[in-house]
Order: sequence, then structure tokens, then C-alpha cells
Amino acid sequence: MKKVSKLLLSLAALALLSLALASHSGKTLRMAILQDEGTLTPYTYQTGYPGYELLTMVYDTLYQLDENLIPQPWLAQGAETSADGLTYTITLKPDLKWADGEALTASDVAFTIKYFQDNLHGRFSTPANKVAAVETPDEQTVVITLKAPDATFIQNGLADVPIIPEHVWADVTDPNSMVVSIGSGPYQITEYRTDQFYRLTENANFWGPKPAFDEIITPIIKDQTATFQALQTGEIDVAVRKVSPELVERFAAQSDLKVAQGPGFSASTIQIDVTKGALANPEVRKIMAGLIDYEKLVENVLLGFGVTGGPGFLPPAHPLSNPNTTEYSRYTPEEAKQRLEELGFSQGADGVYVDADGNRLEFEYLTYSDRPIQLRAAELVAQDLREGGFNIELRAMERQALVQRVWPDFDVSKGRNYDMSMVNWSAPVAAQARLGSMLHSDFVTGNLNVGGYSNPKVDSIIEEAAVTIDAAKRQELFFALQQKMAEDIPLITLFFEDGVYAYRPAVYDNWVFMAGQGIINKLSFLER
Amino acid sequence: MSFWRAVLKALFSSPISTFGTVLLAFMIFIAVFGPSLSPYDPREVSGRPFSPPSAEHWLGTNDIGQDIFSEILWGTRVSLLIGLVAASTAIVFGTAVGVVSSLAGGWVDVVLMRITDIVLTIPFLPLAVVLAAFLGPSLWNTAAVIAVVIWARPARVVRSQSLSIRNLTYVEAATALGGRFNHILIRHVLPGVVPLALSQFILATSSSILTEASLSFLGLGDPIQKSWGTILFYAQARGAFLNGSWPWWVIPPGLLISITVLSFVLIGRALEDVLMPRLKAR
Repeated sequence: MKKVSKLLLSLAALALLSLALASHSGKTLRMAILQDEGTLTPYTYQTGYPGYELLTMVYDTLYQLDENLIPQPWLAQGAETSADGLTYTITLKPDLKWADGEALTASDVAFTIKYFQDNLHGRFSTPANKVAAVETPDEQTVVITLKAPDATFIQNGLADVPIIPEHVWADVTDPNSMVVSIGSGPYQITEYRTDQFYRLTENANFWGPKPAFDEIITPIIKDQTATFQALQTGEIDVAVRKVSPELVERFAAQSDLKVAQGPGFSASTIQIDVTKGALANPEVRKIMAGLIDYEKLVENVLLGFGVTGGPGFLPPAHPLSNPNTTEYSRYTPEEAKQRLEELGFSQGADGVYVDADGNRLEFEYLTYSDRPIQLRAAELVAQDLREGGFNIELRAMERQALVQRVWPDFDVSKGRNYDMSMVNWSAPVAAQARLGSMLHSDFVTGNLNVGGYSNPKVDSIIEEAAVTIDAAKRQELFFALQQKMAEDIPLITLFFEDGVYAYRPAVYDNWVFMAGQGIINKLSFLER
Repeated sequence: MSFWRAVLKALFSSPISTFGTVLLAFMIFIAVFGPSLSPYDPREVSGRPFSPPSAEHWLGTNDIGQDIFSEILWGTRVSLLIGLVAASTAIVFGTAVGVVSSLAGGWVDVVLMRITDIVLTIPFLPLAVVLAAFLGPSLWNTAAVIAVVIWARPARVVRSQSLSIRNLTYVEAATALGGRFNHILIRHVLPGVVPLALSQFILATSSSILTEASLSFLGLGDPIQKSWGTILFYAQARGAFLNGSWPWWVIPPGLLISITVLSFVLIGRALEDVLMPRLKAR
């Protein structure tokens, strides 16, 4: 069954490509994407990756993250920040135009902010709602006043929210069914077939660097094997899908393919319900974290394509990562058992340790049944913990069932029902250093705090960091936060998978590897 | 006693059934002694991931460096166990439904048989897939799912056998003489039904093993347990078909599944021929 559907998929992709290519000469890129992304407007794109990346090819932001994730002026020439951190005076570049030829002015920016405030969007409304007032003294100037100082406003706001044209969106009352997608970005959508492909062509009105392609065609190939077969046979030039570790060597050895590799920020962690029994004891969590052989995980599960996790969560490549908290203090099984005895545990008849009241150190460990990398990692972790006197019952669960126990309805105020669980945090969590969301005891601020962690000191550091603009001071606070994490072990970070991507260098070899994110980003599709 | 002798005779009644019996005996041998024969603990990381076959690792290593040969030896036990548990559950239930249905007659018969028909008409694998996804992955859930989808066929077969026994003149005579339900059931019906149930059991086991492998391969089994199906699941999920490790990672468990299913089918047919000659005559 699966084989047949794969074959059909690849055939369909092939047919589409030959169709698409027949009518065109000039520089074309064929890039396989993972799934349909709707009409590709800010309200209708589907996935954070690669959907948002495709969106930014059509839409511009005021700032643009460079390959080191530092925001650089884009539509904006620059911004002046007032001393109190509340007011941003932004000057737009001159003579900006939308793809349809209309002028892009300050009022479009003001309209965009207002629109995201009035029409809830999961991602862009959050920064928009931080804005108290917008003024447009002239066509090129926007003055944004925030409700409270926000150190991340440029990074998570100005460099994230796509600017939309007022003349197109002014009358749109239901943005979720918007079909017209007009932006100011380097490419525009010229053809879209649901579940089949998008055709993006160069936007002649684009103000900035020249687009690297006349045309980008993005067949949708959902299956991994079909995707990489298409790449090997030359039906596509690049895949947005990450190359899994076991295939890297194969692709690297193929002369017409090239592999781009860099640090990835998507984290595999063990979340722990830190309110429950022995797991509430930070010393016990410290022993558990110390028993795990992180190098073995990276070596055997990721085949070396990754970095080990540390108590401070942020990967070493992250600018806010505290160099003192990138490694756990380790215990051999003997040391762990000795430490457990110091803590008042004693060895039971079957080797599993019990506390004074006879409660066994016995935990259920959930893992996703459809992610082989996490399954394998959990298998190895459970072995390490068993050797140290714990009894771990590994349980593979279907993704939704697991989420329902760990993070019911993605709402931490609804509680939780698990001991420990494999949880994957996607790249933006680490990239944006969302430690506050992961650790704050308040349900709104700590909206990713799935372990129920609560520490008043940590809360106050988080609150202070949120309103600290000064970069050095902010870094200091983040370092302190990570130090606290090393003391308390609110979660165990196992590893970060590298981003590995394969492409055909003969077609294009100018990819920009954005730290933690990979080669599929706006900068890759522009000439440099 | 004579019944078991007949079974034994059936097992070696022809070259083909002898072949099946030998294959099955081999599989059972592996299931029982495999774990003590295996060179490594299949959970232990004993080599570099994705090693090709070598003197240390006869069938190479899997994606995290566990010995595939040992995995397969241990997996035999899990796969056979699930097959046997699922098949016996299905047969006990199916036989009960068939016998009760035929002896009780009337609306009980109608209701039970319509339910059986419904289960029979629902496509087999999709139903199993839906149920498995619903119940979640675990060894016993897999066995339960398989039992739920395969009990209906034996129920049908047993019912018709049981009906024909009930209508035999000597059974009618026993009923006329005041034989109670239990007496008819135990003295006359069951002895006639058990041989049939046995051959159905053999066939059910083979389809259970096949279904377990399919479910596990699709990621709906318990990926924590090492069975033939989960070995194939990991092989597919970690690119065995793309990176060339399939000859030693996919073929051996696939071959074992085929051999086992084949042996069960051969034996099942032989049993049917010998124990139920009337079926053959029809």
C-alpha cells in the first residue's frame, strides 16, 4: 500500500514538474515542500516551517534576521529607540512599492499593526498587542509607542510581522478565508494548485537585492522516501525536509548532491512533572539528569549530527547561552546510588530504590510512537536510569494522546497527568530564548511550563529580564536564570539535532545557513 | 487419545505437511531458545550504528548499534506470542459464538450471525489500523485488536459444523430422549467441533502474526517491544531503503514472517484434510 502511494506520489510530482518546466526557460528552482500552505497569506499559511519562510518570500518585514539571527533593517532604514524603551521611531526606505505597483507607505505599517490587533492571529497578534499607539507623521516615518518596554520587540515584532497592503486588506473582514496574496517581497505567487504546488516568480517591483531565481516551483511531497528519491534522481533541486542522520553520508557521497549542515535549535527534552512525589525533589532530578549518557545519545541516535543538551537549555551556539550551564554534572550508577542513599532512599529487593515511606523510584516515561529518533533516545535513557536504581516504564504513545496527558489542549492551566515525557521544542523556542515561557509559574507568562515548575526567584528574574533593554544586563539575567536551572533541573535537555539539508549545487550553491534554522530562508533566495 | 494421535498423523501425513511441521518446529525452537542463543542483549548498544554484517554482527547493527541477529531471535518470541494469544482468544470467542448460535437458534442465532456478518464484511486491515490507533500502542492492545478482527470467520465455520452435528439423527434422538442442553453440548457437539476449531486456530495464528507485523510496521504496534514487525518499522523509518542497509535489516525478518506463516498454513490445511474429511469431500 505505502509503496504504491509513494510511487504514485513521485510520479505525480514528476508529471507536475515536467508540466511546469515545459513552458519556461531561465533560472528556475524546484524545491520540495512538506504540505499545502493554503493561499499563503499571513493568515492562511499553515506551518511555522517552511510555511513562514515561504510567506516571507512574498511579504517583507521592517527588520530581517541575518544569518546570526541579528535583526537588520529591511523595509526600515533604521529605528531610533527612546531612552525609556517605549518609543520606536522608524524611517522606511524610499520609494517602496507593492508587487502590484502601489506605493508602500507608513500608513500600510500602521494599518498592519491595527489589523493584527483587531483580527487575532496566533503569532503576529502577540507583538501587535504590545503596541499602545502608532503615529505616521509623514509617508516615510512610523512612530510606535509600546505599553511597556520590551527587549525582544525588534526581534520578535519588527523582524517577524509581515507588512500587509492597506489597499488590499482594508475591507477584508474574514482574514482566514483571504485568497489574494500581494506583498512587497522578492517573489510573488503566480500559480497555486491545492495540495500540488506553488509557482513563485520574481517581483519586478521589489526594492532590494535581486532575487536569485526567475521562478521557484514548490511541489508538495509528503513522504520522506519519495522526497529524497526525487532529489537523488534530479526531479527536484532542494528539499525543505531535513535530511535524517542515517542518510547524510549517502547524500554527501553522491557527487551531484551537496549537504549543508549547521547547528539546529530544535530540542529533544525530557519534561518532568516537578510537583509529583519524588520527582518534586530537585536532588532526585539532578541524579536522573546525571545518569544520562548524552554523548552516547548524540553518537548513536543522531550519528553525531547534533550537540548534547545542558541544564541551561539554550544550545551553546545561542548568544544568550551561559557557558557554565551547557553540561550536566554526571554520576556513575554507583555514585547515583550512593547519592540516593544520602538522600534517605534505600535499595529495594529488586534493585529499585524506595524512600522512607516505601515509595519506589518508579516512573512512567512517555514518548511519541511516530518519531523514531525520540523513541530510540528514550530507549537508551531508560536503560541509563535503570542502572542507577530507578525503574522506568517506557510507554510509546500516539502524538495527540501524549499531548493530552502532558499539555492538555496546549493550555498549562489545565494541569497534567504524567511523570516524565519526551517533549520536542521546535527551533523558535530556543532561538527566541523563551525560558520565561518554559519556567514562569504564571499560566500566561509561563505558557510552555508543562512541568508545573514554580520558583519565586526564577519568576522575578524572568519578569526583570522581560523589561530590560540593556543588552549586557539582559544577558546577565539570562545567565542567572540558567544557573538556577542547573540547580533545580526543571527539565532535562537531551540534545539538539543539527539541521542538515541536501541540494543540487549545479542548480544553486549560494545557500545561507541561518543559525539554528537552516538554509530555507528568505536570504537564500536573494543574490548577494 | 486417538484424537491427538490423528493430529500427529496429520502433521506428517504428506511431504508438504511434514515440511510445514519441520519449519514450525524450527520457529518454536527459536522462540524458546533464541534468547539464550543470541550473541548479544538486543537492547544493548553493541556496535556502531548501521554496521554491515561482520563476524561480530552476523546481520549487522540497526540504527542505534543494536545487533540485528539478536533482535530477530528475541523478536521471534514476541511475534509468535502475540500470534498465539490473539489466535486463541479469537478461536475461543469465535467457537463460543458459533456453538451458542447454532444450539440456541431463534433470535439469538439471528443476532449473533448478523454481528458476525458485519465483522466479516468490514475490510480487515483498515479496521485493525483504526482500532490500533484508537487503543494506542501496547503488546496486549495489539493482540486484542487482532482478536477482534479475526474471530468472525471461525465463528461462521464452527456454527455450520455445529448445526450439522445437531441435526444428525443420533443427536436428535438424544434430544428426544430428554438430553439436556449441557449434555448435548459436551457429549456430542464439542467433540465434533474441536478438531475444526484446532485447524481454524492454526490458520488464525498465521494471520495474527501477519497482522501484527503489518500493524507494527505501520507504527501502530508497540515500538518498545522487539518483534519482527517493529524491526521492519525502524528499518523503514530510519531509511533502510535509501541507505542500502535493507538486505540484512529488512529481508531476514521478512523471510521469517513468510516462513512462519507458510508453515502454519501448510499445517492448517493438512489438519483440515485429515480431521475433517467431509470438508475435503465437498
